[in-house]
Amino acid sequence: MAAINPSDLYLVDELFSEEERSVRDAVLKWVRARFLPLIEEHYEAGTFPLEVVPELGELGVFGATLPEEYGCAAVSATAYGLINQALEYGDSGLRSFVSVQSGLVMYPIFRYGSEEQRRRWLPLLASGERVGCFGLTEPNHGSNPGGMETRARPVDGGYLLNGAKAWITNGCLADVAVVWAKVGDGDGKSIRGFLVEKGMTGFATAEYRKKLSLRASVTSELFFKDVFVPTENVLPGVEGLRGPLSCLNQARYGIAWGAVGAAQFCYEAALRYGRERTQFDRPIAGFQLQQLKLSEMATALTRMQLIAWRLGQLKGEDRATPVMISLAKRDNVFQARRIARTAREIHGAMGIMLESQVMRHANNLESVYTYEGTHDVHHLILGEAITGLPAYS
Amino acid sequence: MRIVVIVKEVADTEAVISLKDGLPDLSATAMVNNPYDEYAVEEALQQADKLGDCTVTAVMVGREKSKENLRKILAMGVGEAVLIDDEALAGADPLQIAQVLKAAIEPLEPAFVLAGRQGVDYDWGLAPLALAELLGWGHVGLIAKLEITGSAFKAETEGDDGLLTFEGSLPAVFTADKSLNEPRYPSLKGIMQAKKKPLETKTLADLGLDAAAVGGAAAGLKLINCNYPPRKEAGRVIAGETAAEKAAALVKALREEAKVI
Repeated sequence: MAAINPSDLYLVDELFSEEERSVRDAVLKWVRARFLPLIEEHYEAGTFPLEVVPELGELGVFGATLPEEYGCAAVSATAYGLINQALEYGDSGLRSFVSVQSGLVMYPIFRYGSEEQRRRWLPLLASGERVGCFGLTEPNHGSNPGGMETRARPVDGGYLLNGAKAWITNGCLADVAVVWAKVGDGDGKSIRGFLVEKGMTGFATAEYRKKLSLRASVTSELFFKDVFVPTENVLPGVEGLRGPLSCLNQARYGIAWGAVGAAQFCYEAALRYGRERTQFDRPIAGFQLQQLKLSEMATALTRMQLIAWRLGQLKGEDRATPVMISLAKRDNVFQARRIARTAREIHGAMGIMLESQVMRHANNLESVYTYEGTHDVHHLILGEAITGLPAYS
Repeated sequence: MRIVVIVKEVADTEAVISLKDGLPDLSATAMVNNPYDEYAVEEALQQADKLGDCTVTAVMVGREKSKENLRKILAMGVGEAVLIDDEALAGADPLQIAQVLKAAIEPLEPAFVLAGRQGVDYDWGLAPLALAELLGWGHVGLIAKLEITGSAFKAETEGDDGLLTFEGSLPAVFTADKSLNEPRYPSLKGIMQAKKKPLETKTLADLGLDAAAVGGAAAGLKLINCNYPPRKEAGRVIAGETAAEKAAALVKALREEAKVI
C-alpha cells in the first residue's frame, strides 16, 4: 500500500496552485511558531494576543485579495480561503479577527467606499496599524437584520447616529467601525454604511466578559448616542440591506474554509493521541470503536476540503452565489463541530484540558455554528433556493 | 558581490514517517525547507542588506517538485535560485553532494557560502564542511554571529566552554546555528513576487559532472535500514505513605532493579 497523508486523503493539495499552497504554508508556519505558543494563556485570560497584529500585517493576511495599490497582496480567492484555514488551525478567534478586518471592514471600504476613504483606511488596515469592526447585529435583531433600530438622522454636514449594536468582534479594539443604520424614517432600503471612528463624541463600547467560547477574541457592544458622523464618513457606493449582506458573504466564505483548519487540527490531534495512548497493551487507535470515529472524522474532513476547494474555484470565477456560500458555511462548520467534539472524546479525560487544545476548538465552534447566520437560518436559505418557498420573509 | 546559501528539503517535521522495506518512504510526505537552512537564508539576507549591492543566490539539490520550496526561499527575499535536479543523485552521500555543490557554486564566485548546521532528516551536517574542503576555503561551523569587513570575517560560535571567536579571510563557508538570528516569514507579497524571480535548473551534465562518480549508485555511504525508536514503557509511580518511605523505595529500585546507583 502506498504511503498516505492522513490529512489529505483525496490529494486535494494538488488542486491548489503552487502559489496558493505557499501562501497557506507561510501562514500555517507562522500560526504554529508564533501563535500556538500564546493561545493557551490568552484563552484562559479571555484576551486576544494583540502583539501578533503587526506580525499579521507583515505577513499580509489582512485584505489579502485586495489590490497592491492599497498595500495588499492581491492573492486569489482560493488563497484567501487557505489563509483562513491556516488561521483557524490556530484558533477560531484568530480567524475571526482577520475575517472581520478583511471581509467586513476592508471589503466594504474597498467596494463601496470613496477613493479618499480607500486611501485613508486600507493601507493602515492592511498593515494592522488600525483595527476595524463591523456593526450590523443588534440586541433585538440577529437573524433579522432588516429590523434594525439604529437610525441616522440627516443634519447639517452629516448624520446623527443613535442606537446599539451587539456581538461585535473587535468592537472595543477598533479604530473604525463600519456601522449600518437606517436613514431618517426610512425602511430597510434606506440602510447606509457609516465609518464611525474611535473617539467620536457619543460613541461607546463595552466588552462581553465570561464567554465560554471564542475566549481569545474580543466581543463587544457598541452604543451610539447622537454621534455626529460627517458626510465624508458615509460609504457612498451602496444603499439597502444588500450592502451588509454582501460583506457577510465574504466573511462566510472565509468561515467555510476556516472550519477546515479547526477540523484538521482536531482530527490530527485525535489521530496522534490515539496512536500514542496505550490501553490493554495496545494503542487505542487500534480498537474498532476508535477507528470508526477516526474514519468518520477523516471522511468528513475530506468532504469539507472538497467543498471549500470547489467554492474557491467558483468564487475565483465570480460565480459563487450566496446560496453556495451559505451551504459551505453551514455544513463545514457543522462537520468541524462534530469532529472537534469527537476529538475530545478520543482524548478521554485529557480532552477536557486546555493543553490538549481540542476542547478549545470545540467550544469556539459553538459560536461559529450560530454566528454569521445561524446553522438553522442557513438551512432556510437553501430550503428557499431549492423549493422556491421562503420559510421567513 | 554574491552570497550563496545552500538549502535542502527535509520531510515535514510534523509528519509521521512511514517505512518501506526498512527505508523511509517519503512519497506521500510533505517536504519543507530544512529549518536550519532558514537561519542561513536570514543571515544571507541581513548580510546583503549591510554590504549593499549584493545578490543572494540559493542553491538546492532536489527534484522538479522541490521548486515549490525553493520559491519559498525566493519569497523570503533571496534574489535568484539554482536547482540541481538529476535522477542519478538519488541516494548520493554527503561527499558526493559536496562535489555537486562545488561544481555549481564555484563558477558563481561567491564572497562566502552559508548553510544550515545540519539537515534535520539525518543530522549528518557533512556536506557544507566537505564543500569547504573541496573548495580549499576556510570554514566555521555553527556560527552564532558573523561580521564581514572587506575580505575578512569574524565569526562567533557558542562552544561548551564559552564563546569562541574566529577570524579569517573570504571566501569561506559558514554553517548557521539557531542563535544566529530569527528567520523571517515569507510575506504574501513576497510569495506573489517570487514567481517572477530567476530559477535555473541544472543537471549533472550541465555541471560537467559524471553521474557514475557522483551519483547515488557510487555512494560511499549508504543507508541500509531504519527502525522506529522503541516505544517508551509506561512510567511507574513509587508508592509509600510518607516522603521518606517513597525516597527509600526509589533508592532501592534504582540500586536493585535499575542498577544505576
